[in-house]
Amino acid sequence: MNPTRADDVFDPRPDPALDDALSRALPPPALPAGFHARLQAAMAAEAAHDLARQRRELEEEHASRLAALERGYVRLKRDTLATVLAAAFTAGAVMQWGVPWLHATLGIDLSSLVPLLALVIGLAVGAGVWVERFGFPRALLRR
Amino acid sequence: MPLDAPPQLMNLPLNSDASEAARRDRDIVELMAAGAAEAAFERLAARYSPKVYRLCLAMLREPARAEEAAQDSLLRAWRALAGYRPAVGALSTWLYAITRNRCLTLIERSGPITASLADEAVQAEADELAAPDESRGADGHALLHRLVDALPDAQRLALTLYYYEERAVAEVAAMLGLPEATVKTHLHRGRQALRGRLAEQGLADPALWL
Repeated sequence: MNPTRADDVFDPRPDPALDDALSRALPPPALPAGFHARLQAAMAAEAAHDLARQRRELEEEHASRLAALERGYVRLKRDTLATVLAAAFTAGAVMQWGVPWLHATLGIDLSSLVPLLALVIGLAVGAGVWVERFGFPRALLRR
Repeated sequence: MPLDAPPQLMNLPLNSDASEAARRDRDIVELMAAGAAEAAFERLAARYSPKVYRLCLAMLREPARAEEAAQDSLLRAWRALAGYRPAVGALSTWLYAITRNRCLTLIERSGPITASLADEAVQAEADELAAPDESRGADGHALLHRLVDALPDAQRLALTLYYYEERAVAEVAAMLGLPEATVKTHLHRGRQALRGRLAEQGLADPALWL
C-alpha cells in the first residue's frame, strides 16, 4: 500500500456527480439468502464432528488400555503357571534326593527339615522382593 | 457446544480511550466474560456477517467464493473466540483480520480474479454510452463498476468498501487493517484514476454515465 502524503486527502465534494454515480454503482450487497442458516448448520456439523472425534479417541484409548491389561493378565497367568511347575518340580526333587541326602550326611530328619525349608524359602522370597524393589543388583552393575 | 470464556476476559476495563469499535462490541465481550459464548457469537455473527461478507466480496469479487470465505471466517472466529483478548484490539478488528487472512489464503490458492480495461466488453459498453441514448442508467453503473474493478487492488478495495459501508472511512480502515489516512489516500487516487479512465473512454461528461 502506498504511503500517505499530506496533500493527498480524499474529499468527495469536488466531484459530487462521480460520487453519486459510484454510490449507485456500488450499493452494499445483501447477505445471500440462508447465510445464517448455513452458518448454524456448519457450526452444528462441526460440533457433531468434534463429538465424533472425541468419541473415537476415547474408544481408541479404551481399546489400547484393554489390550495392555489383557497382555498383563496373560503374562501373569503364564508366570504363575511356571512358578507352580517349578515349585512342584523343586519340591519333588527335594523329597526324592535332598531329604535322604541330608538325613544320611547331617542326620536331619523330615520333622526338622520342613521348618528349615520354610525358613529358607521365606528368606529367598523376601530377599527377591527387596532386591526387586531397590534394584540392588542393577545398581551394582551400573557401578 | 463447549466454548468456555477464559478468565482473562473477566477483567475488561474499557476506559474513555477505548476505540469506538471496542465500545460498540462491549456487550459481546461482556457476554463472553459471563460464559455465554454461544449468545456472544450469535450476536457477533448477526452484527458482523454482512460486513464480513462485503469484505470477502470486495476482496474475492465472486459472490459464491465470498460467501464461502465469509462462512469459513465466521467458523474460524467461533473456534478461536475463547482465545480472543480485548487488550489486543477491538473484536471487529480481530474478526476482520481473520477474514482478510482467509481471503488472502483463498486468493493465494486459486489466484486473483483480475479485470482489465482492455476487455472488449468494457470498450463496447463505453462506445454504447458515448452514443446518444436516453435510457442508459443501468449500463452506466455497470461500466463504472467494471472500471472500479480494473483499478489497482488497494484503490479498488478502498473505493468498493467505502460505498459498501456508506462512506464510513473509519469502518473501511478497520476492515482493511489500514490507517484512515492511508484509506483516504487510496480513495483519492482511485477516484482520480477513475476520472482519468472515464475521460479516456470519452465519458468525461457525467451526463453520459449518470
